[in-house]
Formats: sequence, C-alpha cells, structure tokens
Amino acid sequence: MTPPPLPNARDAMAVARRMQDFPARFSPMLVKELRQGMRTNLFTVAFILLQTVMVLSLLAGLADPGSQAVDGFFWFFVVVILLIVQPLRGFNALSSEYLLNTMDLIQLTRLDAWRITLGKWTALNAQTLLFLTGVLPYLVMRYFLGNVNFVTDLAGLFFLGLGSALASAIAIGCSAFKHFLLRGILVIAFGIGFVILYATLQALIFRSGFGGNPVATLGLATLALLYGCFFFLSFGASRIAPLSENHSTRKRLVALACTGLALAFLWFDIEEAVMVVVGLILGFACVDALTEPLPVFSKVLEPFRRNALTRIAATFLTPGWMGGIWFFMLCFGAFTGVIYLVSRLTTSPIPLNDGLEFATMMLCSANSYLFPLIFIHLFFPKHASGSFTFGIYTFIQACLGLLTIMITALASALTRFDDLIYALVPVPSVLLVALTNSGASANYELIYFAIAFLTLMLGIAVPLLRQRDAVREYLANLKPR
Amino acid sequence: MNDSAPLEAPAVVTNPSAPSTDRKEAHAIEVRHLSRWFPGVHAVRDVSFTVERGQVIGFVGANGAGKTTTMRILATLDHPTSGEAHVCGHNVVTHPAEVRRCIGWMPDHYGTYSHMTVLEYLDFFARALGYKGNERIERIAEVMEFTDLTGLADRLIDALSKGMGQRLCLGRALLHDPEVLILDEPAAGLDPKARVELKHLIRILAQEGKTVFISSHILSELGEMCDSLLFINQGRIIHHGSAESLRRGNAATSVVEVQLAGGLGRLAEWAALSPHVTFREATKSGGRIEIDSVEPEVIASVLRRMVNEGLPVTDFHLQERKLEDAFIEILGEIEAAGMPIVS
Repeated sequence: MTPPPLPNARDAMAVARRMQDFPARFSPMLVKELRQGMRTNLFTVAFILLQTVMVLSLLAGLADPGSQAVDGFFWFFVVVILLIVQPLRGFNALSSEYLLNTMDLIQLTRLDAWRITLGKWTALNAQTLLFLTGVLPYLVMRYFLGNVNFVTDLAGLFFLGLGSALASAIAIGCSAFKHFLLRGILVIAFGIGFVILYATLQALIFRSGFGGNPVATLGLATLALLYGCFFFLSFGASRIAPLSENHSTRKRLVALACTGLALAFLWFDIEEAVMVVVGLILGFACVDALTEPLPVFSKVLEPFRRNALTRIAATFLTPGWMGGIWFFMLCFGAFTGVIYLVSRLTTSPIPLNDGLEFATMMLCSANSYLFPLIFIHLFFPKHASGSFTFGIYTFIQACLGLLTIMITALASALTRFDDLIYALVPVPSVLLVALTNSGASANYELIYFAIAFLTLMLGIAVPLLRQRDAVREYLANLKPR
Repeated sequence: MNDSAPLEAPAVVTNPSAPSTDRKEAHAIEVRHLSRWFPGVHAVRDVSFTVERGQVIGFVGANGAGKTTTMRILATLDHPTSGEAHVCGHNVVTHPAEVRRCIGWMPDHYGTYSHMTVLEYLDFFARALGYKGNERIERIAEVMEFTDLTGLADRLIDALSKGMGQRLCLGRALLHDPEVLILDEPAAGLDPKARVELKHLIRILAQEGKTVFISSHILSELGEMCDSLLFINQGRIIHHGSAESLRRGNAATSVVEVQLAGGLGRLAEWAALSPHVTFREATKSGGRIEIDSVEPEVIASVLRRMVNEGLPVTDFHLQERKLEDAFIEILGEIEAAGMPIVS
C-alpha cells in the first residue's frame, strides 16, 4: 500500500514511535488490557482505598499493638480487594468483546482463543500484583510493630495472590457466556465451590491437617490452584474459539500431567489431600470432556491420523464428547486403581469396604458423571453437540442433586422409605444413598451392582447409538487417508 | 466453542490437506454453490461467483438478503453449511489462517474500546498481527497517514465521530497490507463529507490494485466505484454485471436527450429523415430521440450527423436507468418469472 503523499508523514512516525512503552515480547492482549485496565476508575479507587486502609490499620496498630481487631481489619480489606473486587473485574472480560463487536476483529489476527483469554487473565493478575506489592511494605511495618509472624503473613499473602488468580480465572472463564444471567449463575456456583475449596486448602495448610506436612500440602494446594486457573481459562477459551481450533487435547493432557504431579505428593504421606486434589482435577476435566461438541472439521482430527500411536491416542484425546467418554473411562479406571492401591499400600490407608460394595460405589460415582448424558442425548439430541450442552448438563446435575437431597430428607423423615429409594436406584446418587443405608445394601448388594453396571453401559451406549450418524462421520474422519 | 455458533453442522470438509489453488492464478474470490442456513432461516442459497484480482465489486441487496453472511464466510468468521469459498486461492474453511493473512475486514459496526486512544488501538492490532519493532511503528505511521488519523492519535476512541471511526476501522483493516478488502456497509450512517472521504480512500486502494469487495445500500456510489455489481436477494445472486450494463438493461436501443440552442427547432423533422433514429418526445429545450443501437460508434455517428447538418446541439447525453430502478426492475422480473435470474 502506497499512501498518498501527505505533509504530516514525519509527524506520523514521531507519533507512532510513542508506542514503545511495552516490550514487543509482551502479549498484545496483555498490553491492551493493562493500558485499558489501569485507566479504569475501579482500579484507581480500589488502589487508593487499599492504601488508605493500610495506613489506618498501621496507625491503629501503633495505638493498640497486637490487637486482633486491627489484624482482622487489615486482612479483611486485602481479602475483599484481592478475592472479590479484582476477580469480578473479569466478569465481562470476554463477553464485552462480543458486546463491543471486537471479538471478530481480534480473531482475524494471529491471536488464538487461548492467547486472548490468557492475556486478559495475565493483565488482571498483573494489576493484582500491583496491589500485593502495595501491601508488602505495610506487612514489613506490622512485623516491626511486633506480635506478627512475618513468614505466616507472607505465606498468607502469597496464598491470597493464588486465590485471586483462581477467582479471576473463574470469572474470565465464565465471561465467555454472553448471557448475563447464565454468566452470573455460573460465577456464583463456581464461586461457592471456590470458597469451599479455598477455605479447605487454607485449613489444610495453615492449621497443619492431613498428615501434618504443611509445606507439602502448600505445594499440593498450589498445584490444585494452578490447575484450576488453567482449567477455567481453557474453559473460556474453548467457548470463544472457532470450530477449527482444538483446545481439548491440551486440556486433557494437562489434566493427566497434573494428576501425575499430584500423585507424586503421596510420597509426603498426605494421601487424603492427594485424593481430594486428584478427584477435583479429573472431575473438572471429565465434565468438560463429556460436554464438548464433536469436531465438525476433519482438519482438527488430522494430527491424529499420522500413525498407529496417534490413532490410539485419538480414542482418548480427540475433541468432543465421544473422545470425552473414553477419556473419562480412562481417568476413572486409573482413579479407582489409585484409590485401591493407596488403601492397600500406604502407611495411612484410606478405609475402604471390600469387594462388590467398593465396585458398586465406584460405578455409582462414574455413573453420576455419565447419567446426564443419557438425558441429553435422548431428549435434547439437537443440543447434544452444541454450545448449550454444558448448560444442560449442569442443569440436569443440579436437578439430580436436588432429587437426591429430597430422597435423603425423606429417608430420614419416614419410617418406610425403602420402596421410594428402590424405585429410583437407577439414579446414581440415589443408589449411593441406598448403599449407605446398610440395612438395604446387605440384601441387595448384587442387584445394586448389576443396576450400576447397566447404568454405566447405558451411559456409554445411549449417546453413541443416538448420535450414530455423527459418530460414523467422526470415525471416518479418523481413518488414515 | 463459540456459544453464538448456530446448531447446524457446517459443511464437513473431507479433504482438508488438499493443496490450495496456485495463488498466482487464483481468483481473488471464488465462491461455489455456497449455502448457509440458521435455524429457520436460509441466509445464503447456492451462491456462486468469482472476483478477479484488482477488481472493485459492489455487493448489493436489501437488509437480510444474505450480504453480511456471505461476507462473514469469506472473512472466515462463519462457516458454510455447504459449498466452497476461496479467497486468494485458499479455502476459507480448511485454510482460515492463510485467508486471514490476505484479507482486510471491515464490519458494518466497527468495534470500539473504552479507555483506549486511536494510537493504542492501532498499536494493539499491529502487535496482534505479529508486527514487531520498527516494522510495527512504520505500519502504524503509514496507516495513520493514509487515513489522516495522525492528528487524532491521542483521542479516545469512544469520543470519535462515526466518520473518524470508520477511517480508524479502515486503517485497522489495512495494517497488514491485505490483498483483498472486504468492506461491509462502510458508508452506512456517514455524513456526506465523511462519505466522500471514505470513497476517496477506497478509490486510492482500488488504483493500487487491491481487490475490494464492498457492500452498500447506496447504489449510485457503488456504481461510480465498482467494476461490477453483484445483486443478492433472499440469499440468491440475481445479477452479476457492470454498472453500465445494469443502467442499459436489456434494451436494444438507446434513448438520447438532446438540447438545442433556441428550443425544439427542427429536431423532429431531422429525426424523421435520419436512418436509425426515431423522435420520441419533445422537452423544454429539445427532445428525446431513440437510436436503434446501443453501440457507441452508432451513437457517435448520430451526433456527428446532427452537427454536420447544422443542428445547434448544446447537450447530447444518453438517458440511463438509475441503478436503484434497475435493481427494482430486476426484482420485479424475478417475481414475475418466479425464479432467479443469474447472468
């Protein structure tokens, strides 16, 4: 393009040269978000407010050294800014790009969905880092005033930073949904989960639970939080990505790698914590895999056609719910094996019931993941491979959860509730209730196992049969050419 | 996946590894039997056309005719339900990255960011397109010069007027110096001055040999700018031809409006005696004659004869249909025939 000669050619170069404030190696999205984010009123007000509160709490600390109230005041504002204000700034991160009509423009550049999402998250965390560094001098001064464990405070601040990173990832991941209500519900649901998880992890580390190895538990918690960040960012990225991008394989491989790393912590005798973290990692990865649409572009499957090894890997790692089912089976098999081995081989074994009851419980747990798929593929076949699958899956899970709570409540309120439970045992969570009812399980152990096994088979067969045309096409695309 | 994506599966491409067409020989745009349907709406139906390199093509149609859907497919922002589309020889479905490198896309509603200046906006897209160091600075400067945005570099985008915003959007589309420009309603909502400025920029780009695929409602403007026009109605291409041929229509004769010094004079008498010429009607200062040919040579010979024979001709011009009239006429023909007309 040769521009028409204009008198301000030299001016334009001089003006353009001003755009060297950020190094070229920084992600374009990070640069853009930092430029925009640090100009917002919210950031400025929050920063000034935090500094004011820090100064006030320091003065209050001078007047009343070692006061619990002052300590609480100090941490309350740090927690609010880092775990509520900052993450909520990501609530519209991706949806606003749709709203502003800029998502298309960005997707025409070299930025893929993952880099877009990661850039937004990094920018938010860079601003969180500014808040953290703003708090550090006050932490040092509090130490000089006395009655403060500097190392614990520093670890607490580090953990808050990690928590803020995860909460931001949740907000940004959910912001991929354009509907405000759906976004809000997801953020609240995941937010509650986050609070429970975060509080548990904090208790594990700072109150020396689970085997009394806080350093190892901190390492494990860091791994869990980092995986959480990756998961939610990938969750958002895969929802804004064009159909020709494959994000699934990376998500599943990272989940397997993190599981492997988490299992390495078994060395430190924190079996229960490891099992919780492994369960969470695989649980999130599997739900995501089971609700993915099948790839419609054979280009996505091209790398899996190379040789026999990649074709085997394709069974578990190709995008879409079909690969998702086998990935789930792989994870679940491995998880069951690990639980069994841990219960048998480690110094602090997890107490397990033997034989059929253990198998039935594990099958029930597996079925609780697969059961909603039966409904989706039977009653919402058009949505079975679309963008709403995750929403429908979550809705069915919520309904099943509600049903189980009602059954449990009835079971404890009524004297004869067995018939009701027996009628609903195909629902995995109800079967789990029945299993825990020792009187019933003693008589029906084999029947329960058979029901659980049949439900598992249905969970696999119904989607495959119902979507047989799509499955056939998908398998044809996997064949070597 | 994109939660805005419709539920229907796109066309499954069975041989994605097939090499793209030889780029040098390829058309700038080639569309074959392209269809796209959304739940309950057949937006594009079996559309086929080609655009040669360096051409400026106007894409015309009413709201909802399928213009934006077709353009979005060409820009790799949507996928066809069936059929194929190639830009610069690359398939838009199987080689989207290659297509994106050679197109500049300007949507009908340009996206703006709050808390961001014009310069930062261009810098963001230059970085996102992979430009580094001095090259990035040069590209930004070049685009700012071309679109005359240097003076607005520090202005916040949300404080720009519509015309300035469109210039910025065009500048963004030009950052990577694309071969093909796809402009969706770039002049919509612009005031006359901004429209003239935009038209001027597009003319320069066309002179530089860029292929411009542009949609607009303002047919007269497209007629001035475009080598040919593509009419779309209810998802179907109903006409593909030059503005000239459209203005002329299917007529075998030409109507010429003639003005003579001193009024009608002996125009009717002259016409009655002249071969190939029929007097149609008198006007205030002359009359309309019909020449039974559309060939420019024949029309020129009629004018020559008039002058040679002493008629005081002060104005002699072909009466052409307005493009709007031509479009409406074509629509009428389709309704009458009950089927699409594709030339």
